[in-house]
Amino acid sequence: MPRHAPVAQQSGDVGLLRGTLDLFILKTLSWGPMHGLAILQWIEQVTKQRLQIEEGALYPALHRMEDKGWLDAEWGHTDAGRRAKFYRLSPAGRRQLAAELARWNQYAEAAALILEARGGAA
Amino acid sequence: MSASGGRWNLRRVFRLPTTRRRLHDDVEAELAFHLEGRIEEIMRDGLSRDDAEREARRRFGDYQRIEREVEAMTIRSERRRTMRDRIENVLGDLRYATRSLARQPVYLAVVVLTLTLGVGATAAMFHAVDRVILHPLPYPDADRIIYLGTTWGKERPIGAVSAGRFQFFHDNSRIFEGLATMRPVEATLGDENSGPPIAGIRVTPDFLRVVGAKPVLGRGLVARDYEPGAPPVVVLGHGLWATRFGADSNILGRPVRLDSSVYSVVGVLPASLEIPELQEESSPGFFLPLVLTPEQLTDRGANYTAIGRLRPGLSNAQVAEDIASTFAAFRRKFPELVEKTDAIAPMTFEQTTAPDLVSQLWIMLGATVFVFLLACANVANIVYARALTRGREFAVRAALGAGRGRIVRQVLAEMLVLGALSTVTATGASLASVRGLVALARGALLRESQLRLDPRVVLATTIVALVASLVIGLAVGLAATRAGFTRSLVGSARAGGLGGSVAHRGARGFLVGLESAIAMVLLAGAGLLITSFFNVMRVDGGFRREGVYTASFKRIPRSYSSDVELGHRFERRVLESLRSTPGITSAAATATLPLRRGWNLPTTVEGHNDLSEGATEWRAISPGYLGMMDIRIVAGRDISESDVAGNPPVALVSEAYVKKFLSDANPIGRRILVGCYKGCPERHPTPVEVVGVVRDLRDASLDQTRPRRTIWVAWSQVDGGFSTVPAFVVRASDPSVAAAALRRAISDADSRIGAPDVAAMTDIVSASLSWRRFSMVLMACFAGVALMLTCVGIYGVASYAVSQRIQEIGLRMALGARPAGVVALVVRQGATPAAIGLVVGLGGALLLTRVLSKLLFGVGPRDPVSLAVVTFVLLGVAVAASYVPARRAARVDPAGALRAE
Repeated sequence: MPRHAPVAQQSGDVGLLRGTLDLFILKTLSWGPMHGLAILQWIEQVTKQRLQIEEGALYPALHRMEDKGWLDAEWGHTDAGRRAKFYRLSPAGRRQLAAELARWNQYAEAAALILEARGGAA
Repeated sequence: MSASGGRWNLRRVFRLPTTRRRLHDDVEAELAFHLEGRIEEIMRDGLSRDDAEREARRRFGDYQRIEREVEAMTIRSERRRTMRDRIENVLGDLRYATRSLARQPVYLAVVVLTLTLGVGATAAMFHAVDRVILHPLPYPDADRIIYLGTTWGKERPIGAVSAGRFQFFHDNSRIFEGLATMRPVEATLGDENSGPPIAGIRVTPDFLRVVGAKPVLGRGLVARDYEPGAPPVVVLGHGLWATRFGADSNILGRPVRLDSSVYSVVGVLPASLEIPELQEESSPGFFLPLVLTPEQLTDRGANYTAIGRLRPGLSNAQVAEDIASTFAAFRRKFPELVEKTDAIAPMTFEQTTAPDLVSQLWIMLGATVFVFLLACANVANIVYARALTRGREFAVRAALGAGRGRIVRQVLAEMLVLGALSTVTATGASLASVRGLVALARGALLRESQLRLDPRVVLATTIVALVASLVIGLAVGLAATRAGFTRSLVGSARAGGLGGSVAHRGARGFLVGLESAIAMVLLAGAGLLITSFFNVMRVDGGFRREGVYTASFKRIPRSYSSDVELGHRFERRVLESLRSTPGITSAAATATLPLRRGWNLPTTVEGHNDLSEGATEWRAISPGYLGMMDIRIVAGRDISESDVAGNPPVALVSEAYVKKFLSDANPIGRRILVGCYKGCPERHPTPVEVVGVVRDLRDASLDQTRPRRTIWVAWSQVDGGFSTVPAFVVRASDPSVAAAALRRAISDADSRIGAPDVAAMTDIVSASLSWRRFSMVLMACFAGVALMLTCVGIYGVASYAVSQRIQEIGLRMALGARPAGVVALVVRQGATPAAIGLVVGLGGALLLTRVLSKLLFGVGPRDPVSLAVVTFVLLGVAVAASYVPARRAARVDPAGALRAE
């Protein structure tokens, strides 16, 4: 079963850096309101399933971000007519996303500098 | 997505309380949706439903834990959000209230002013009652302080005992931690030329323990300071130490000269020590040991304040029992010093100092409660009126989804803002008026230290103002939203008037009725007190007031008491000088001015030892005094210039004295022993011979009910003792001439004696009525405020009625109604509730004015004239207050009124 092979988070593919789940959720929701499953599916699709997330962990994160005011949540209906809870970015969430992105980019640049440096003094 | 932004916001504003159950269901539904979606997805890969579900759950992780975690999180956040919403709502309400009040400055001012009047008056009176009655003493644990008082039969106890009784209680009673007494003394500090004498006290050894004071420097007086032959020591009061010794911390051991003796300073007492028992001298400059002499210990005069600190935890019964048994022991041991009807009673501070003041203050506090209620009724009336004019605004908000509760909350918010403002103003006003109260009572009411802002009073003021505001807000909010609420949306309050406005009129009519009832009670009280005051003013005391000017001394140098002749020389010199001053018609001297405190002595008629036990007012006067004061001699002669020391002593007695002691034969020529109980066993004074009879006076107080038995002796024949320097009295047509002459004559005769206290007799009369004036002015103020507020209330109701019925009035006038008829209609509407309230208030007044009985003079508590007058005043005010809007109604242009709306 290629697609749904069990993937241990500890080993294997790319694990999830602490705090980056929030950033991914924010980024994902920047495309528009989605329910939890859709957010996961979108991340899977974009990362071509190289990034595995413990699915359950998504929900505490969503609720925490809702509580912080980054996300607004509301019950709606899916295209299939199912009742689902939709999340969308609030203005505060949008600001948060911008800030996190900036920080992420700084971090990535700094990391790249270290990792690509040619070793050895003098 | 079916959710719209609009609904979203609405839900925020009118958030419904979310139940825990719903939160749980939501979380479950959300997670179930996720699992279901995954299962379907996996099944599309060809797995069975069971396998797919297992796989989905495995990928999901620990479902139970996550569910619990998310649920707990939602509950927490929901709780926080609810709280935040609530606070936001309240803040929003307050902001809105503040904004809308700021647009109505007149309304704001009227409500705050009215509340301030009501709350401020109550707070000030409460402050006074608290300080005077509830916590009058500055001592720590003052609830354990009692005083020993003396009673004779059924008479009211006086707050003092004889020296012998004090000592016996001190030695034998077991209820006291300490029992002390004190005697005020005066002494010149330094040599004779260093200014007027300073007030100090002599105290017994327990004194500091009783008042709970510790010296800030050195020590207090201790047992060895009281032993015979002990080195003379003095403890200084903080004030004297600071002003005369520069607060020198090296003062201990320094010698200090007081009069002719030198004392060594052993201690300084704290600035906080105040001794209210000493009245205006409540901070004495120095403290000396008081050693009671055998002579003093056998003197039966109740002249010593006995202040005791009880042991903790004693019941009133235990105290009473100990006092009774101790006094019984005293009676057994010293039968010659006790009368059959004598008793010793425990007393409180205010009983010893101002027993009448206590009942007066309670009555006045009661009156302020009425003023407070009246103010609240008036505020309710005003707020109600405003709520009605805002009927449309409320209706619109109701249509937008604001429920009744929300509108009530809005009214409450406004009242809260108004109440908070009133708290500030009322606190200020009460502080200012406490000072006013004192000024009115001439300083006898409160000491300066008692006037300070008291946090408890401020707290009470705040609570009262806020609670009153909220109650008014709630009552008005509920009442205003009850009646005609939807109607105002349909057709405006005006057009749809009748249904709703009848209910509104009922509510406001009730308030106006309540106001007039309260005003009636206060006016009746004020009317009776004013009548009493003028009755007392009109009382003929039997002595002249107009054109009489007096000079008296508070402190007299010690040299006068050691040399009697000094005082006599001084008196002769002053009188000679006064009599030769142009503008002074006549001059005389007296030991006691009318209406000032005098001496009260026992007398015995020679040969009637059994008869004459009893207090007699003692007056020592110069020749001519009775004549210039227009005091009539009904028999015999006046004191003459030849009645001087060396010649046989003479006296005049009052009619009441004759009636009591000398009615068996012609009083002229009888002989009286002054200052003796039952015939003076030893130290026999020279008897005085009665040479005349004087008309009974009301010179103890104008409202005294019975004449006092009085004896008038020649001042020149008095050999010291009670009176070393007399007061001087002149008759003159010009007050400034009189005052200048008195001052000059006195300082010419003795420049060291200090400035006398110069007062017109009319001022002394007026000062003697200060308690009466106090209650009269207060009650009159309350009644005035009540009248004003009621007037505002009636005016408001009548105006509102006019605005409500403007179309109806227009119609009536179009149909031929006369303006007079319209005026009558409106006046009836405004004055009717007032008249009903008036009748109720009259009933209340008949019931309540009885508490004033003690303060009344020459008028009964149900005096029909006073009650009739105030009824007409109030009725007149009611008619006048509704006449103004009635006139406006009568000028309505019928065509315009009908076209309106």
